[in-house]
Amino acid sequence: MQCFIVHGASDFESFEPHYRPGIDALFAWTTEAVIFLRNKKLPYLTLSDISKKEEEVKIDKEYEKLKGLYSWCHDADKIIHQKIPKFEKEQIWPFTARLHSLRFPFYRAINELNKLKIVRDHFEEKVYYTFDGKKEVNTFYTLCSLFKEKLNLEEIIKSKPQKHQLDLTFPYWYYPRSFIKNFFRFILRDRKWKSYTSFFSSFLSFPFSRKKWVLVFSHSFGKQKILKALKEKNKNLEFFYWQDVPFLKKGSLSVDKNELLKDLMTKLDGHPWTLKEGVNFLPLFEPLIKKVIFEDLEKMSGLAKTFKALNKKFKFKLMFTTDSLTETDLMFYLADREGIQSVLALHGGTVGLLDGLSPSPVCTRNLKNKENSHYLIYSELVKDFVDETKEIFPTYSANNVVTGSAYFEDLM
Amino acid sequence: MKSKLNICYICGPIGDIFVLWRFGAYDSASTLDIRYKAVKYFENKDKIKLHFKSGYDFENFGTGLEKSIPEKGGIFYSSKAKLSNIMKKMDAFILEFPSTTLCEVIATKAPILLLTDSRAIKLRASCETLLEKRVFISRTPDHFLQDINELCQEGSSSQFFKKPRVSNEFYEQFLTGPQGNSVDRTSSFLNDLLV
Repeated sequence: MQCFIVHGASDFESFEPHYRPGIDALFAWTTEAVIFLRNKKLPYLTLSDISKKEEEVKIDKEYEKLKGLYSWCHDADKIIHQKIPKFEKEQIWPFTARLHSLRFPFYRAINELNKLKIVRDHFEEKVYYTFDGKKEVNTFYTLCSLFKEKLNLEEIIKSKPQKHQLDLTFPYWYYPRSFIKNFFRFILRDRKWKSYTSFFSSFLSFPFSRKKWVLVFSHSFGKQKILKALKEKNKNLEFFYWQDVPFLKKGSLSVDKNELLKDLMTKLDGHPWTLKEGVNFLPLFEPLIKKVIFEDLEKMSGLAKTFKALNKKFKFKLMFTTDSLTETDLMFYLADREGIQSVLALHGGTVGLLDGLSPSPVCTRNLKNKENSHYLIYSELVKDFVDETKEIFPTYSANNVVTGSAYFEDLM
Repeated sequence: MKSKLNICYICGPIGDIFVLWRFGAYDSASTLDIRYKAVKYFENKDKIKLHFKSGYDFENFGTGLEKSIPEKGGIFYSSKAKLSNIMKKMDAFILEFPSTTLCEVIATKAPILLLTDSRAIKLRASCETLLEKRVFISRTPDHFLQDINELCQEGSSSQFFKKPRVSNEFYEQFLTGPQGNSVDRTSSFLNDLLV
């Protein structure tokens, strides 16, 4: 039985002359392929159909994957620190702070490669893939090209690729920088007008108050209740909502970014994280690395500058967040540098429920003053898990504190 | 007596976000394939009403389910619809994945069918024991589809209603802690940090 891997709707056209109905298999690689093949009423297999029943998840491998990605990000940041010493001084770790979102493309590429190996092992005869040059080059095609010989894959090319735009993506910065966009996003769409006004009222009330300021970056799961209760316990405090900061400027950097990119690509070449089956697949990630270098560095520098200026004015006693975003992750480093206590409150129900699913930003933050950072979790059962994780990751940067979940309590 | 059972099918994550929650031999295409097969069981059932709750970014996948489900008498809820607003009126839930939504629907009294394919995820042993007191867990897609078929065929006469699992232990021990009073505990902890 030969196998034809269907990635996109147009792939079947290329396979049709070679495909023997009733003899060969069509393998649906993507959701698009499932939809196409169902509509065409063609029989197909998916990964779930061919995966061995006895093949259970290997948890150690999942931890190793995260450790490997951390090591890659850390090494990349060290190279940046050499080129931009003020980043090291200010504790700006561009890739490490981006690790949470970089897991999407990096893990996806690894998963796709594993999938390719499972497909290859399952079918005794030839395994075909195709490419239609009208489309943009995708991760699948790039991986097939890189591992074609190693995995003995057959290529049917309809036309050579024209564009070299990869489809690996990762979440971008959470909030837009422009005042107008912020206005519409927070006031009109998210109806955050009450918290938005805190930015202005903070400045107006500041000269007359000697209150303690708490920096808040939170969007989810009814945390306002907690802040309200905190205010009732301590009348002498005020909240400063970071997401209200409307004028976050880009910082200026005097670094040759092309040179920096070249440096990163050279020095990270052959890094164990991007060396799989003896094949270096770092080039797959070049567009992402480029994005961080050309788009993120100045934003991060600007965020650090704003954070420093606001802290000088308000002398924050505490930073509280429920979110794991690039902004918040970077802010944990900045708070650490300034000696501010930081708190991340867990939201969502999967931490502690599934083995191998590490709370990654906490696992890999590697703060200097780990005792100043706190991770609020739901229960002793969740604590058992995060305490185990803390043993596995030397970079784990938080005290795990059980405080329950107001959100789930309300649901009952 | 109610004329139809309201069964809520809740989609798990697929697409790029998928990679964060599932590992091993499983992917978005497999999940979508199972979903199509599951939805088929609801067709032409007089006593069952399908409430299909889509997840992250669902509308962008072009599955056609948002059109075909209402055409066949079901209700399609967009990815932006809040589950907590609709879950109280459901008689049973079907989940493809033990995500946050599982923790939400456990707050109801309705039976829950859950797929936890051991090739894709691994429940922690301590949680699994508690979950099994409340949730009907299928460990393979075939078993999951068989359970859905049974639910659709037999409705309120199926084992899921006849032998209900109603324990609150998972909720109390995993999600809220036995003490409760989370708002007070959290705000007290934060206040201590400020002193």
